[in-house]
Amino acid sequence: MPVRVIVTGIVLVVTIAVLVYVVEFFLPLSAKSDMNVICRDTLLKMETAGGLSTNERLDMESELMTRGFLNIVANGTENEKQGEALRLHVEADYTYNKLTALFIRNNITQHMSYDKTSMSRKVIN
Amino acid sequence: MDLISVIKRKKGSAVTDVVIGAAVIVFVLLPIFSFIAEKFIVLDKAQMIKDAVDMTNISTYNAMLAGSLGKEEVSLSHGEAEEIFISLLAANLNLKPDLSPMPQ
Repeated sequence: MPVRVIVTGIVLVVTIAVLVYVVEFFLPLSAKSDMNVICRDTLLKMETAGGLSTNERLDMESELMTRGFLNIVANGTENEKQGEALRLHVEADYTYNKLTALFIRNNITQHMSYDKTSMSRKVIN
Repeated sequence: MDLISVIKRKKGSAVTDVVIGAAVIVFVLLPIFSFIAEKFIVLDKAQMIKDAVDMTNISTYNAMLAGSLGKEEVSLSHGEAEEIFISLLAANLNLKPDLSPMPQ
């Protein structure tokens, strides 16, 4: 009887560990999705403004840091007239804690990047 | 031995517990996890492609003929629109200029 309790406990622990691993698998996917949304919003603002201003870049970086990104490097076309190409290139690291073995957790760093081109809609007289 | 006596039997087997636990993990949890993960990844990829196409579509507005807008006509320079669309789509989806995939 005690053997059965121990075995049931071990099976339960292993099942919970598998469930935790499964849930943690989605963390970087969710972070990348959020990064795409933030960068897309910035690119849309760049289209109407004709480029990436310093304030806009700082706002985007602070939003990414709030989301958990580190070592953010953002490069964007600063000023272009209507019809010219605007490019936004953002690279950042996302660090999260992950279950790598049954009772071992490690910090995993995932490098993510966003690179999209659009066209300026600002008319410069 | 009838069914009721089998159900009421309190004696069990540790090996059975381990086998059932492993079977639940392998045949229930892992397929469910695979299904959800694949669905999430496909939706994420579709959203990325949709965003790239949306950016490209918005940019083709630059091919609109401003002169005709004054006459309350909305018309595009088709050649310019196609050129803008193809070039930006290739840039945003990481394709060659002829929209074929880049080499790995």
